[in-house]
Amino acid sequence: MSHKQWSAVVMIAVQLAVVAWVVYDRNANPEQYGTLRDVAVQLAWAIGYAIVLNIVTIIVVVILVSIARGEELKDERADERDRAIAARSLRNAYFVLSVGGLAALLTIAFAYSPIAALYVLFAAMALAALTDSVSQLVYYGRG
Amino acid sequence: MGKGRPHITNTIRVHRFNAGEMTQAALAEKVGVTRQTIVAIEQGRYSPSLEVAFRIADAFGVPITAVFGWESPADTAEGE
Repeated sequence: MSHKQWSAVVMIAVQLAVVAWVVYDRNANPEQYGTLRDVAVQLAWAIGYAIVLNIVTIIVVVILVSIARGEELKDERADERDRAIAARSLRNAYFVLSVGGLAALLTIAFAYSPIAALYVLFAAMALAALTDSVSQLVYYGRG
Repeated sequence: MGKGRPHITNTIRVHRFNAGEMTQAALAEKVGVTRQTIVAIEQGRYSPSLEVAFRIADAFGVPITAVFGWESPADTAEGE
């Protein structure tokens, strides 16, 4: 697997871990997330964790894969195929995010709690990121 | 990346052999793409842009038609 494929794998793992943390934290400490602001702060932290965890994990994975292979796992400059795959993956992710954004609006429109809408929006962002990474893996596999 | 079965054929493997068993990495370096892209083109999983196709042919010093060919969908259907 290339550096870009490993990055996609790491992104999937990190997204799943962060979503699991959000769900766990919400259920373990429900009293902490009573207001819209509390939930917004939690989800903002979750995005921050995801960014940091992604950077740290990709560094660790590159080191481990390089040791296992006996040669450095380099991130080569993107060529036309990489750009085409990135564009198609982004298109898929954009579709998921758009549907999620609409779902967040409908959540409020149908008089559910704005907190629920915030979680729907966060889920849409996480799903979009997952879609992007999974699409990349599928397209790299196909060619 | 194309839908369905690709119809662009190539003889990159033969030309690499004739070029002193040139490695895929060396060809990728010459053409300016990643090794994974050369692998995908060689296996027929990815159809390159016209520019990359010309660059590959230039790397072997042959015309583009010596490296790439077109298999019409009608011919493919008859053969199946």
